[in-house]
Amino acid sequence: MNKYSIIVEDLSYKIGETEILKKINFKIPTGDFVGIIGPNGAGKSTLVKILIGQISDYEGKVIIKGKIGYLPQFQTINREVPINAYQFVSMGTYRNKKNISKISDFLNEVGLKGKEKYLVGNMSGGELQRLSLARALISEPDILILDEPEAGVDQMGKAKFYELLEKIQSNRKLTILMISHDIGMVFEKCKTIMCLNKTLHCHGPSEKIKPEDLKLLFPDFDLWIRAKNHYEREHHYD
Amino acid sequence: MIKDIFQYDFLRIAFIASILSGIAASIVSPLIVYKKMEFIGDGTAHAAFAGLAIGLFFDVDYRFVAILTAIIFSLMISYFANKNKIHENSAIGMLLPVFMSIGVIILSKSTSYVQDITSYLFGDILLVNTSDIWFLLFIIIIMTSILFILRHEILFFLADEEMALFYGVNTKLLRTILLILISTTVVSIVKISGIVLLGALLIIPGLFAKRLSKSFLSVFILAIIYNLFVSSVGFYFSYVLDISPGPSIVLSSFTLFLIFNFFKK
Repeated sequence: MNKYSIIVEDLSYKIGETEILKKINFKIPTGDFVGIIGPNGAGKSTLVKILIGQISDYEGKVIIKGKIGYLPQFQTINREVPINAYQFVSMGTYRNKKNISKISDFLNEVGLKGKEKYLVGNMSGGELQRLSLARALISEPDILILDEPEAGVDQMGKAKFYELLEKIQSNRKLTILMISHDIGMVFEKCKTIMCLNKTLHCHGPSEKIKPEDLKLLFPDFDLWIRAKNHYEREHHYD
Repeated sequence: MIKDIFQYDFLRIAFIASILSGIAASIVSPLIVYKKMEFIGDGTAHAAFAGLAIGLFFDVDYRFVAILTAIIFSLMISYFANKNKIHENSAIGMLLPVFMSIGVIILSKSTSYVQDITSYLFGDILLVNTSDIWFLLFIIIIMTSILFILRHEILFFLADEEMALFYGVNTKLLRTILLILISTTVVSIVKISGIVLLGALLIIPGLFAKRLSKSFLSVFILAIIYNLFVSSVGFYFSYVLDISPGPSIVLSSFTLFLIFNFFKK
């Protein structure tokens, strides 16, 4: 097994004269669960696009050891198209048909047992996120990259999704890289945190990242924490 | 009317042509509607106008020149969409007057075009001949075969283009193939419906089918049934009321869609 799944050295990316990413260096050990946080426009999604190969005109070095599974923000789906859950997951077997007979098993694994014929357009945000997870898993990835999996999902759906993600990671020994705006959840679930705002501000075990580090990243961090605490008190959410 | 259809060749050919053009249009209609490229029909038809002008000017079969022009048009749209990330509709809007201008310049050098152009703009089903019928049939068979062979890729492309690309579907090539299919269909039906009217044949069945379909296959079946029905009804009214078949079919299609919308929540 490789010691590192992802190695990034001196990564920079520009659109015209605008710097999106600047001299980024990091190594992600195999089996790590990394949360990437940062304000809007920090370059998080650009970094993901580089890692999954959608952007190639960057400067620096990116080494990926293993196959990538990817969960985009679900807004990429055209919900009007009548595609059912079975067909949707089968997209993950397009290159390698090996697991096509196991689609129902994968649906079962993500808690969508018996929903093969359900139209994707009629599914809730949480169900859709789990369906995308099944599609990613069926391609047998070594690394799973998630772009804001909480977008459009309610609190219950989020909790269920993160629980599922933890279970899958421990069963399959996957390396997970997740972009999220849900800072509380990232600190709770991820082993490692990366703070990105064009450059890498901090990178380390979640328990060693301090609120001061985050204040540099999010000017309204205090306000955000107060709002979150208030919400959790009001909704008795734990 | 049925008796007359069997009795008069021109009527029979016109009826078959309107049915076949309805089928051809309805096959590509869901692709247009789901990809939100409603402008493509008008765009390609106007682009094919340049082909028609060249055909008339050099006295060669307009269909092949028009298809060639329409394919060049779709390749250019595809180029702008893939390379420059310009939305298809914007690319169509930009290229349409360019091709139309080329057509107008060429026609201005020709002496006898007025009648042909009028029938091309508004359609003239009664001028359709058996070679047009065979041509339409050929296009339908080719289109159906391609759509069947690429059904999985097309479904993934329409449902989630970004992830279809991620999982290995060649979305750039697929976009180009679909644009060529749509363009060829437009050229094959334009003699029947005319540039101005073909939008109805291309868009309304897809909008109808989209509202009712529970599966990808049923979208195409419903779209075909819709156009078969409105083409027959439109043709009937055109005969009974002695009006032009193209506009009659368009109005039948729109009226049915209004009724459907009224009853469908």
